[in-house]
Amino acid sequence: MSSLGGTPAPAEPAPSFGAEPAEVPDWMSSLGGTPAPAEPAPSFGAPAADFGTPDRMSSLGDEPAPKGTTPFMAEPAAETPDWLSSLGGAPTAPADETPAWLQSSGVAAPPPATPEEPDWMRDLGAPAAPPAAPVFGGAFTETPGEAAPAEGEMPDWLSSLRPADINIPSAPIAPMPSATPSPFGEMEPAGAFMTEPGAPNLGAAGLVAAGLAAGELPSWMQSMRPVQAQPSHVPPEVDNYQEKIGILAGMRGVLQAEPTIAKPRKSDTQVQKLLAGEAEIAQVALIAKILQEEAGEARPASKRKLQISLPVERWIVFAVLAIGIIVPWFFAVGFFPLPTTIGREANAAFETIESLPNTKPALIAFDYDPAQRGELDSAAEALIFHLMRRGVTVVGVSTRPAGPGIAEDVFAELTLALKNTYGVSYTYGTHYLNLGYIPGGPVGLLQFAAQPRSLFNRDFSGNLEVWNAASAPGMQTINALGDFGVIVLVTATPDAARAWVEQTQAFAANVPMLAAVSAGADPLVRPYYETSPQQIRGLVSGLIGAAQYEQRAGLSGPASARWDALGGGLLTASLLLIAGNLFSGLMGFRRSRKR
Amino acid sequence: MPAIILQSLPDILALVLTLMVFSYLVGDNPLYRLAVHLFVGATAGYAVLVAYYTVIAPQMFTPIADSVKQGSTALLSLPTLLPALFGLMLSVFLLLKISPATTRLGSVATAFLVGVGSAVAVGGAVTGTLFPQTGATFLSLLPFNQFGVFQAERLIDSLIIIVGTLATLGFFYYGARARPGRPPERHPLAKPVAQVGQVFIGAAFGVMYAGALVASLAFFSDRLVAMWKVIEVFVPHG
Repeated sequence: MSSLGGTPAPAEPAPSFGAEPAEVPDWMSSLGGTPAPAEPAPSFGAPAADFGTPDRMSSLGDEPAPKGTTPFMAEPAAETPDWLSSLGGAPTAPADETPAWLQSSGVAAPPPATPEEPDWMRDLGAPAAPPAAPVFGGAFTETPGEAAPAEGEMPDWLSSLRPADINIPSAPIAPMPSATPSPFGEMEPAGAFMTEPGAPNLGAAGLVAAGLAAGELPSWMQSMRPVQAQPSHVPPEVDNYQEKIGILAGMRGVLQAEPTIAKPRKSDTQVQKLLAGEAEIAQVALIAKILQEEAGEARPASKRKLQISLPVERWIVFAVLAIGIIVPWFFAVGFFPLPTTIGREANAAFETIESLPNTKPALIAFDYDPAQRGELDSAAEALIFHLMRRGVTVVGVSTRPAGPGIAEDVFAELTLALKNTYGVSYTYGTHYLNLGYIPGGPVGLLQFAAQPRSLFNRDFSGNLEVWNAASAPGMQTINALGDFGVIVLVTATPDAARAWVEQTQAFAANVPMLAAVSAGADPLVRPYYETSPQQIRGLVSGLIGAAQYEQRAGLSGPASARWDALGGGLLTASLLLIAGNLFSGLMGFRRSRKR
Repeated sequence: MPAIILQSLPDILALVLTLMVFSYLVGDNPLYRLAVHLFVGATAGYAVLVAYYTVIAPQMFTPIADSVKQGSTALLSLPTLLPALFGLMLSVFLLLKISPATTRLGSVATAFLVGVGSAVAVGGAVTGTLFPQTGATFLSLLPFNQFGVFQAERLIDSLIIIVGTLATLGFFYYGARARPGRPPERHPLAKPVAQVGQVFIGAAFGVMYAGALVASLAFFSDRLVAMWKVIEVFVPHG
């Protein structure tokens, strides 16, 4: 360790564990055929300044050992303990005492040691020995200007891995002498260690032939035994990689550093093949097709694309329908004659109102929004005008916020028409009243059906006390829902009709209910009319039902006035549907012919 | 002329808004969006005002204010005051759902609304729709009326109702056998029933579509006629 001050580290002979020749076993003696070169021992802390030792490290040897340093560091070599001397590494045997196995290996014996220093340290300073290279830390050999070793210095086994025609590029890292070939390179296979030295390796057949009877395996072990194991179909991996740079340039079969360090990836070799039936394959193809279609539909539209398009088909349909509606209404009045017959459901509604006593008020539910007024105002006006003509007090409510406003309009229009037509004056509070909005949907409806007086104190405008005999004498007979003479439901949705039927019939079993509904809601409301006993006594469906009702009641209302327009629109729509279906069928037939 | 314009101003406004909605024919555009926003905003504002002036103020604020004015005699109006206080409490709880920190307190009002609404809806559906409509399918297949007169249409009508009801219900029976490698299939007995039910369902949807088409044409004709009437005022024809 005192040589840290700059003495080049000589090659240290391989430590001979048990250097006595007589103690070498036979199996080890057989290894002597292969000349074992002197393997440089790992010189821990012994690299010289030539290997790049920094100055601060070099200066360590000039300073005396401080106090407290361990004896191993401070004691001179002469005081080496016996246990260290017995290792044999320090006192090297003289040339004449070189063991036979070492002499046969061709390694030159080191010169005799001087008495001042230990032999092993003198061996380190042998100038003839080649510079020792640590078996690790190749960077220590990166000395500028140091040439790569010649080809002849490479061991034969390493040289055999490199093709002869390879052109070795100048590697940035100088190659170093390879390590000593493994002394176990020519040893027997690992299985030989399982047998006694010198015993023949018979194998299973040999054992049976030698007289050893084969044991009988128990049944449970027989069942665990693999029977006819299917050979693997995995193709063997072929490593054709050839190193291009460095000391291993041109060699095949070397391990690549990139897959572990930089390019982690899966093996290209298909280890398992998924077994799938035709049904599974078809389902996978279907899912893949659906996903592909969805991906195509989900493609975001370009923002630069002009949003205003030219849907010519839409324009054509709009124009044809508009012409079909306007022309009969304006130029061909009477082209579509008014209905001369009436449906039994509309007739049932007419008969119900016609037979009502005018002593009981009628409750009108305006359960539709302004958007549906174009269709439902006609039916509502026909029914209410019929009631007013008979002198029945009408009371309006609604479960929709916009409903009371519609009721105001309808009542105002009808009272004016009644006065102009029949000279009858209908007074607000006495002959008609607008109670307003019933909140809460079915819950509020149930409360109104159970206790009408608890829900309203004033009318929709808030100016009139509903239950005051002076302001609203027409409401004084109303204490429960059953006190109304009839309930007329005007709605565009089947949900509202169902809510009225479900929540009010328990409290007004003897009160007939009529319904004026949109034509779109007719199929879902009609079952309440078709039941026996009827839950809805009469049904007026859409503009057609309103026109029928007007004809039956002898009225000339808005439904009759728009009958030509509606007839023209229906005819045009029917022709468009037929033409569209024919065109689509022809196009489909043409495509099938092309295929 | 100005008098005519002032008198027809609502109709002119309706005409302009209708044309703005019809502008969707050339695609989504600012005019269409402006009209839609106007309708939505006006509807929402109108609904809020109606709810306040016809429900919140007269049924909640007014009873409480009257009780405060009456002082000690307010105890006499407890039947009116208690529902108002209860409504006010639930309203406050609902307002607490605005903040994430107090939203759990608002669940009390939500639970009350959902519970009461569900109970009322289910009870009404059972007694008002399910039982009466089920009873309406209990029809006699004998082709005679109450006077013993033979009526073939009575038998046909009853058959259509019974078969249609059962087949439509059978269509919504989704039980199927799963076989390896094949898609699940209905039971061999349920398959023809479901096919018949599919015919009835298709017919019902067809009728609904026809009704929706007629309703749409009624709306369209109403708008076109109204627009023409406005134009007629300014462009009198011979």
